[in-house]
Parts: sequence; C-alpha cells; structure tokens
Amino acid sequence: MNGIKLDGDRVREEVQAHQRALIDSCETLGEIQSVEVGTSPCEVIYTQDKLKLLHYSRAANPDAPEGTAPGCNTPLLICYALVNRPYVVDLDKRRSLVQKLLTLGIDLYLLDWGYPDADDSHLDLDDYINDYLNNCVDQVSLHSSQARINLLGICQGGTFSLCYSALYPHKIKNLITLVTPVDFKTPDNLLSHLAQQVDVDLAVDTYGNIPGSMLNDAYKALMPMRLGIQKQLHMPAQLQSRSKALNFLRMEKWIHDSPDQAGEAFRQFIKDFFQYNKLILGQVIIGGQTVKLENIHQPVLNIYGEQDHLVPPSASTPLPQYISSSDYEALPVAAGHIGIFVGQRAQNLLAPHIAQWLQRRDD
Amino acid sequence: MTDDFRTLMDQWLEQQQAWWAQLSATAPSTQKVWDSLFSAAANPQNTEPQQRILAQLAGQILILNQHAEPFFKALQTADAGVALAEVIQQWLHMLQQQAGEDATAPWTLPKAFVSLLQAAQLDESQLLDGAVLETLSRLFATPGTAPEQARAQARDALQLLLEYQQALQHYLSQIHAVSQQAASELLETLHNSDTPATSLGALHDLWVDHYEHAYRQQAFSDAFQAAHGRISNAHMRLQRFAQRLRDAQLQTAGLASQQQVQQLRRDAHLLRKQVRQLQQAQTQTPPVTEATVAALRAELDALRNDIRPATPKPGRKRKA
Repeated sequence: MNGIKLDGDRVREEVQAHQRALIDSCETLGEIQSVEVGTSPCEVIYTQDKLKLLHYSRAANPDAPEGTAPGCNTPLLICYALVNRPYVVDLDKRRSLVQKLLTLGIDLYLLDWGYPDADDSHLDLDDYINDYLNNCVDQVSLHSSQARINLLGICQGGTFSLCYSALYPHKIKNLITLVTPVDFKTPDNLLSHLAQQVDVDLAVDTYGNIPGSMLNDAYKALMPMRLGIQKQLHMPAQLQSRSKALNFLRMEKWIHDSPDQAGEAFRQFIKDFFQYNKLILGQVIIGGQTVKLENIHQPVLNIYGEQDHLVPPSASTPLPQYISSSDYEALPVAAGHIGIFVGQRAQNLLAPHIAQWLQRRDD
Repeated sequence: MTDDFRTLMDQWLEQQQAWWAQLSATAPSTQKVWDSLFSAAANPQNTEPQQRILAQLAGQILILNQHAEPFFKALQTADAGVALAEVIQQWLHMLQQQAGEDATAPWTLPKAFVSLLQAAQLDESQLLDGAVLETLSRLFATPGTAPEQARAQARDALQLLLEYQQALQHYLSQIHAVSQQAASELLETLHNSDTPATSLGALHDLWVDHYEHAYRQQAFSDAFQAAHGRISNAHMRLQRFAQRLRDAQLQTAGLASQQQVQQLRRDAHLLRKQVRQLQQAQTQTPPVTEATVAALRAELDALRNDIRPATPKPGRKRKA
C-alpha cells in the first residue's frame, strides 16, 4: 500500500497527544460558565405576539469603531429566516455584521421572529409576510421617518423579502438577498432533493409545529460524515484556549438554537417552494395575492456563498431572470452558508460592500 | 472545574499513557473516569452547549482506543504490511457499521412503540407471527373499546410497524451502498496514492472525504430520495398513530384530545386573521370628508324633491 505509511511510535504519540488535547478541552470547557451571543446593545421598538423588532443605533453602540463612511439616510431592516436565530449577525463583537454596518453608518433594524409554540402552529405565510413583516416594515418606516426602507433578507428570510418586495414594491427602496434560494429545484440542491418525497401534510398533522431538532437532522444529512464524526474529532483543536473555545461555543450554541417551525407556514414553504418550485413559476399565493417576482423593479444586490451546501449558488443566481430590476448586482463570496457571516475574510468583504452599495442608492 | 476532578483526570491520563506505553492486555476502566466527568460537569439548569460537547468528547476516547489499538499492534508485528491490511479491513468494517447507525439515528422506533412492544414482551423479529395480533389486541383493549376496535388498532399498528421495518431496511441498504463505495475507493487510494497518509488522523480524514464523495453521488439518486422519503414518512405515521391512541385514551378519561385542542387553535387563528383583514380593509377605505358628506346630502335632497308627491288639487277629498 503506497498510500499509507504508519509508524508504531507515531501512532502511540498521536493517540497520547489526542488524549491530552481531550483533557485540556474538558478543562477549558469546565471553566466557561456561560456563552454570550447577540450582545450589541439595541432597543426593542415593536413587539407583536412573539416577534420583536430591534433597533441598533450608533448612539447605543459607542464601542463600535467610528467610521468615516458617509452613512445612509434610509434605514436597513434585516429579515432573518424562521429557522435558527437571527443573532448569527451579531455572534460576538469581532464577528458582528451588526457592528460593522453600524460603523459604516447604516441605521439598522433586526426582525427577531421568536420561538413559536403550539399556539402558533396555524400561523401561515400570509401571517408572516402580510402581517408580521409588513408591520415591521411600517414600524421601521415610522421610527426612521422614511417613506421607504431598505430590506436585507437572509436565507429563507431572503425568500420572504423577495415575496414581500413583490407584494409591496412601493415600501422597499433597495433589496438585498443574502444566501437566498430562488430556484428551489436545481440539480445540486441536496436539501431540496431529499425533501421531495417527505409527506409534509403528515409531518404537520403529526407534530403540529415541526421540531427544530428535525431540521438540524436534515441539515446534518447533507454532509453526514463531515458534520458528524469528523467535526467531533477536530473539536479538541477548537477548545485549546478559552478564546478559541468561546468562538466555537457561540457557533455551536447558534447551530443548536433551532426554534420549532409553525406547522402551517412550514407546510406551505416546503410544498410551494421546495416541492413545486412555485416562486419562479409565479404561482405562489400569499394571503390571496399572487407573488409576481417581476413586480420587483428596485435595485437588488444578491449575495451568495460559493461553497454554500445548504443554498447552492445555482439556487440563488437565477434571480435576475425573474425580476424586473435594471439595477442588479450579484456578489459571490468565497464562503459557505455560515462562513459568510462568521468567516473573517467574508466579514471584511460583506459589510463594506453592503454599505457602499446602499450609500450609492441613497438619493 | 474542581481540583478533585482535575486530579482524577490526571490520574486517568497517566493510566492511559502507561497503557499505551506498555499496551498491556487489559485497559483501565475509562468509562468510570468519563462518567465522573459527566457528573462533574452536569448541571440540569445549564442550557449552554458545553454539556453536549463534553458528551461527544467523552465518546471519542472510547472510539479512539478501539480504533487505534489494532493499528498499533499490527505495526509491532514482523509482517506489518499484511497485518496492517487486515486491520484496515476491520477498521473500514467498523466505520461502515457506525455510518449505518448514525444515518438511522433520527429514525429510531418511537418510544411509545418501544414501550408497547416491551409491554407485550415482543421483539421486532416476532412481528410477522400471527399470535402477535392477539397480544397487541389485548394491549389496545381499554375500557370503552370494543374488542373488534382493539383488534383493528392492533392490525393498524402491525402494518405500520412492518412498513417502518421495511423502510428502515430500504434506507439502510442505500447507506450501505454509500459506505461500500467509500470503502472500496479508499482502499484504491491507499493502494495507489503517491502521497501517503502518515497518521491515523490523516487516514480518518481520507475516509471522510471518500464517504462524502460517495454520499453525494448516491444521495442525488431517485432511489435514495425514495428511501429517505419512505423512512421519514413511515416514522411519522408511527408517531401519529401513537398520538391518536393517546388521544383516544384522553377522550375516554373525559379530557380534551390533542385534535380538539388543535381545532380550537385553528378557530382562534382564523378569527385573528379575520380581525386583521377587517382592520386592513378599514384603513384602506378612503376617509369620508365633510365635502363628501355635503355632496351626498345635496344629492339626497335632490332625490327627495324628485320623488315628493305633487301637492293635492283643491276640492278633492279623500274617501273616508
């Protein structure tokens, strides 16, 4: 066997080193009591049911470095997905899209959907888009005294933002989609491929709200070995120092902080978007209105991860075929679905690009 | 982390190091030490990720020894090449088995059914036995349930269990195909590659790369999609069946069933939606201005004048 060259002494040393690293990891973990995330100061300016609308201002964040950018008059509302939690954009001070955008003079609002419980199992996409999101857009508009606002949608939140902009084009000045699926049935979309034969009616009938842990299992099934045993074996390397461990734990906390999904909304999203790909067919109906992507005329910045295994580039890049915007830009980022928020290189690229793009369209 | 815990861990590490130095036949009890680690770190109030990660780290040490020891022993033999080839085969077999267990972990038999089978003292291999139906029927016979109804429920349960078993086998065969492909391609790499793996870590990384490559090839097939859908649905049907049984028991006890509660939630939601739509319709209706009212009043007066009966002619009297 040419492809393997092991030596007994080296194997022994390797095992001993790994054992030492495991002990050190346990010791580091034992010294960490709590893992703080989403710590940038903010003000809750609106609540509705479990939803909270957060406002981040420069005044409330004096620690954010003073920027020299001209800033933006138009506020930016970030609409996150229903899956996982929105604090991934503010994981810690060093890896915070929120802090970076504040520094660049962006007046920032973040929509936190909260954790749906059994009472919310009948919430549908009409509730989420025509009620919750629409109210948040109005509140941002009111709070900032701007007739139209900028909207940034992330992942499923990006799909929601596309639907919203198509239904309420007069309220959105500029639209940014980040790791957002548009065409849900491209050949390299494994999540979609595996979702095709799952009986969603049965799932909602069985569970009411879809447990967040089920979604985590589905994501893990996309790269079972890499996200399973290999990740575990590499853990000790991530836990050798307190600061490295905290970074790792914040990410772990976010990954496993998976709210349950309101059953009706989940049913509609999986069926209409994943299974029937109705968004690009112009057949999605929300609250009795057909979502026509061609109604989107505003400037659009479409950001996607080149190594995104959850929303492959092929799912995001067809967007310009379906919208009417003459001002469209695609921004590929050399990162995966999560790395785009937390990777250092991606962070350095993402916030400045977003801020500049918005500033140029802030007339 | 307490001093006691640290001391315990140091002792364990010393034992491990000594064991690896001598590679004696018997290993010290690693489980005892890691159990102690769990209890030291366990805090039911703690929702932070540390506990879960500690569990994963603890699991690693057992696997590490299990996997590394045969390699080490093989490398000590005179004919290390042949022994190593055998160990790699065994190692791949273990990895394939592990891959199957991990892949089916989300679809383990729902607890309600495990209890049911245990209560009937049945194991899964007995499911095809005709007597099982009778045993299960007795289990489903609760006060207020007719014998034929209990028998029908038992039959449904059996059908669902059988479908689940078959779906699980079907899915496992897909996973087996993935790990077979990964193993055979990894062996090919180990035979032919010019850049050798020089550590167990590198060897394991190679396995992961080959597995993920094979997985993506197989997972995109129609057969894999069908197997994945089938096991997902079979598992959910079992869950739903267990819920319906529980619902029936709740109703027998005079309590509201889950279905009834859901219906109430549905009604409340519909009501809320109607209120919102009414509010929206109200805000969209143009406000009635004073000018509009004046214009409407003038129009009304004009209409009144038009329909006002002509003044009766003098001299004509109504009949009494």
